[in-house]
Amino acid sequence: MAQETAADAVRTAFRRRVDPGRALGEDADLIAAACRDVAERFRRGGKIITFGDGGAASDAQHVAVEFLHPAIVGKRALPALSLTEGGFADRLRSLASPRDIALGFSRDGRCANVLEALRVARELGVLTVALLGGDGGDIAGDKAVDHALIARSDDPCVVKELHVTAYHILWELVHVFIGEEFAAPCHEDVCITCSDTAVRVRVREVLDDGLAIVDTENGPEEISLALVDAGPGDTVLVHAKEAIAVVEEPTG
Amino acid sequence: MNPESLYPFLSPEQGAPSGVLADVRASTEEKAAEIVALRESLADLHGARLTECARQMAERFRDGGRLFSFGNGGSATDAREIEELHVNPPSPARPLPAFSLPHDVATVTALSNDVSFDVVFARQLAALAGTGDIAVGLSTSGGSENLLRAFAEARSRGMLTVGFAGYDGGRMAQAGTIDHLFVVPSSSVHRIQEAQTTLYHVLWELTQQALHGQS
Repeated sequence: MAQETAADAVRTAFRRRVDPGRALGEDADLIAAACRDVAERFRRGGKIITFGDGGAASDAQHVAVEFLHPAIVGKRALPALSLTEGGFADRLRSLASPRDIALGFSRDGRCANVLEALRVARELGVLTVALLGGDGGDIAGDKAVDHALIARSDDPCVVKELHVTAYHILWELVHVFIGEEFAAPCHEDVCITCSDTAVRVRVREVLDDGLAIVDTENGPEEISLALVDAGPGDTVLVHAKEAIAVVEEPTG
Repeated sequence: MNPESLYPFLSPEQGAPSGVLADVRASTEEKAAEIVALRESLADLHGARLTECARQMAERFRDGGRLFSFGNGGSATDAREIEELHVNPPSPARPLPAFSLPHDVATVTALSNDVSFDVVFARQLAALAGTGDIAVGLSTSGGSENLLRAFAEARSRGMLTVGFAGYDGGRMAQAGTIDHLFVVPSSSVHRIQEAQTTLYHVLWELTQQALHGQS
């Protein structure tokens, strides 16, 4: 009998997460639009400033380390810092530049410290993003917020879990946009945006996770093949350790 | 292959890169579905063991035990979340003593600089914790040297040891120092972290229920 009750408690706890989890997928358009705008700021040299009080401080820190020191090999580091104590608005005023991104966390949407910082960010011309929960609170409806994503649960634990998924996706898709935007103009041998020369190399070996070993003038080097469909023996054009095109070699 | 087929959104008349947006949207839906399914699978995989672990944690807390959490990088932020959840729980849950080891920055940097990063959590536990306390360590790979040393120290001190890992559990699964190890069977570091978040939240909830039942 006691066993039965314990098993029920576990099942109930996990079941409580299913519907809010599915609802996150329904917000795919919102997430995609936010990622595009965040990527644009990074592309212009901006940094991301994250902040949250209480438990949300852990999320602010997680996002910052995700961008600054990616867990996934081959992804470029992007500038990020987190604020976890004191008045976020004042800190932001002293640290932010207009091309930056402000990302605030509030699991019930009612954190005054976060809202004040988002308003200051907006005044400064900073892109404002909020990850919220519950009914979105007063932050969701505030004019200062460019992108608000609301995890559909009143349980702060469930909200946090959805936020972790949301910012993992944010990080990954920002890299997709940045990869495309940086790499897109590089279809000639010289990159139009940065004037750097893209290098022709031959793929020696394809590794896991979209990486490959290529032969360069200075010996073998690891690069990313994520943007192209290439295999061993193919010649690819590489810029900033990213293969941006497969070169069609004249036959014969 | 022409550039337009590689990068369809380059077409100048297109204001927004709709092709990429559509791809990105599909990718978001796919990942959201993936974590929902992974999370659901954990109820059967770890349910009974979570209940037993919560019962033992509740016993320790009832007898005055404290929780020490630790991890590196993203997992350090989970250690902080675990501390916060125990110390400042949502009402009406009961506050419980907990401390996140990586957030003592002065101690962590001093030990790293003077001795080695491998000893940070183990040395902190040696100084702070004892029999009756609880050690909770999180890693995605299961292979972090400082976690393995911390669990060895915790075990030698008679602490209850609880671990979260990913993939196949790595060295944490082989160590023989972890009383309750919860492995998330996924190859994505992101999905592993997300699922671990749910596991330690549910563990906390079950611990609260067990304490309520015992009181």
